Amino acid sequence: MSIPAIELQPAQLPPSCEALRREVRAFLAEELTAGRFAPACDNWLGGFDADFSRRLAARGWLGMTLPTEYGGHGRSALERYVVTEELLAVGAPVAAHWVGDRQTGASLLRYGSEEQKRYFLPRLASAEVFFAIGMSEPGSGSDLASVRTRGERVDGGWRLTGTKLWTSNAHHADWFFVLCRTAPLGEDRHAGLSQFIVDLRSPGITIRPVPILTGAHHFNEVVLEDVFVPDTHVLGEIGQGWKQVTSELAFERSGPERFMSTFPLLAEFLRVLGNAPDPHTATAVGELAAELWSLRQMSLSVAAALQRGEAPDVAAALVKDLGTRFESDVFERVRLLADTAPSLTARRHLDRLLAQAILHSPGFTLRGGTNEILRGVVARALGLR
Amino acid sequence: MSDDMRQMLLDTLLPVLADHCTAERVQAAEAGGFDAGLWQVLDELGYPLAAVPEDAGGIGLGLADLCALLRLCGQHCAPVPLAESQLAAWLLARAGLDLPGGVLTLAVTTALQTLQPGATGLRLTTNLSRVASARHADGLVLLAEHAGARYVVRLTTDELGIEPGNNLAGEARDDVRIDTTVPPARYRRLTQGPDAAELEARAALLRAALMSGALQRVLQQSLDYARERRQFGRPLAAFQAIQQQLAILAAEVVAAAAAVDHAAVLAGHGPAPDAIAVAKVRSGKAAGIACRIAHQVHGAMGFTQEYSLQHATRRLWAWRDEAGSEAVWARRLGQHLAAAGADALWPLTTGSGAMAD
Repeated sequence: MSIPAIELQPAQLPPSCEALRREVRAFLAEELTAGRFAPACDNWLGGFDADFSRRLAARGWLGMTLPTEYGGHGRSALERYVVTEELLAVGAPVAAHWVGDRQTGASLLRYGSEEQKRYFLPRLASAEVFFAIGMSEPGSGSDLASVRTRGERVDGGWRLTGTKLWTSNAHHADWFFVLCRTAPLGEDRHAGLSQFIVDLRSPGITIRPVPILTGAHHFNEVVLEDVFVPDTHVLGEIGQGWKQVTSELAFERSGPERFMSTFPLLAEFLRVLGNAPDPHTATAVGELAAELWSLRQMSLSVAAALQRGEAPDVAAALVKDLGTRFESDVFERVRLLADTAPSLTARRHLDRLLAQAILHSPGFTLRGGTNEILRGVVARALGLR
Repeated sequence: MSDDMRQMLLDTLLPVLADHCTAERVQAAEAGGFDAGLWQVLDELGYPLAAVPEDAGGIGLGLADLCALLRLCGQHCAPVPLAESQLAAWLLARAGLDLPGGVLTLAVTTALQTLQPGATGLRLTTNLSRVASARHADGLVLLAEHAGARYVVRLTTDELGIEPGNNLAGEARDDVRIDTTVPPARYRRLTQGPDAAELEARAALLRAALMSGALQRVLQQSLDYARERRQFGRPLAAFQAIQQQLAILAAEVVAAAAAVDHAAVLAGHGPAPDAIAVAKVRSGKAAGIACRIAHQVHGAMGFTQEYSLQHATRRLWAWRDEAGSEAVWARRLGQHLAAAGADALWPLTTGSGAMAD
């Protein structure tokens, strides 16, 4: 009666991870004591701090799973998991390196040319270059295969024309992977797509801010007008873009940031609450913790499957659906239990965290695949479509 | 316990359950709340003594393996008090008391029962609520205290005044009056072993394991039905609205299983009240969501006694309130976390994945 596609093998972190965890905790405590960053909800989107990323890189905590020959650290996916969850738990400003560290490095390692790997991977691991994602477009959100940005063959390379949208931190990042159509749309709509590694400072690129609900500038519209990309910057194979981008999504969807975006709020709520809450509030805290701990076990199982070289994309979709809903549950419960007026300018930390969580929340269940798309992935695995 | 041995126990149990737990037999058991035929087969195969150490005549299964067995029982809605009997036998063995054979049941209470000195043994006077299958049991085991020490006590049928009752699934949950003097052969001081809280946690874990099995059953039955049933010229499964609901149902089933699996592994290495709280809370939450979706997908058919979905959904509705509801376990977990303080929340979260050894 079991359904293998959605089955998760229980996973435990190896004891070797605990020494690493202690190092990361000590580093973060030191950073916090020195006031070098302000913890915030969803700071893996909003907290672009290149210096912070470089301090992490100096400790060997970027590009951890990349081979040492490419400037990486040859560590396991589970060790990387420990570092990422520690960073998320304190709401650290990790946006600068997040995309590169999470998915770009893995994609380059799998599909990149030797030259690309030698150039980009060491710079990624040392936080010298930062990456953004060039997937969505004004007319292509959930229906990613419908992208209309096109690449035309020219002497020595390709010319890209089109518009990418919701490109987080494109105004700070150095490079992005552009998914575009290099052959006309045919019967197989997943064919004819390709990925290019594009310098965001290339001639022909215009980056316009698209402020989010907090008023902050994280999103951008990136317009490409006849942007020349040399052949050396094709990622993988021309025409294999769909397969490549799908494997990139497995990394994009599976991490602890898919249930921890509002963890700093939960921790701060506990601080405000004190040691002896009323039974009703204690029950709510216990319910949230039960969900958090279950999600973490599921997420660890997905990470362990990735480490074993499996492709747990269905399980990752399922966990992301649950996890992103939990992120909103946290503030919906906390706002009714705390005496609060959420505001970005409030003096009290709890009220600011609550405001960040609420105003960032529409993104939780949209980015990296909407929850409806994710359930479609699960439904297919269940044999329903 | 080797993986082969574990697999053999599961492989042996599966056809037994498949043979005996037909919809008709499960429904028929509701009249008395017990399927004696199934019990006899399970008893012959030694499953009631699964948790008893091998040197005491059992199979010596750890909690993780026990949970795997009970998950199968939950999937099949097996109408026997196997979990209670296993826990009761384990407790008797822990105390070094004789294992009488037959059906055992267990009284799990938040506070220990109090024993008084008597002329020929220890006196016990108490009222117990909703004891599983008390009317079918050959013995009732409980944890009690006397003179500052913990005791395991076994009561026999003639000592039990039974007021029959049923849970939502028609399983026997009887109130029991006890006013007796227990002879020394049937009580034993417990020097090493569970206190009331630990026994309660074990009972909750086993209940959660049964629930995770019933949840799998509810998912499978809903998937099958959605593929078979046609409306508007298409199978229900072809409708996105249905696909989305079934994906949510599947996620609940996976979440509950993950929480139970984890708690079972941890509890096998030492007391794990937080992980068990998470397992019971998560299973209980999943039960509510899963039953709602499953019944919605099944339409009026699932609302009838004739159709077997109800065997699993009514058990889930009953079991989520047994061995401590979500509220009970969430409150304990929340109180623990609040007492530990905000700075401990994250270390406890990561520590919740670590084992004692």
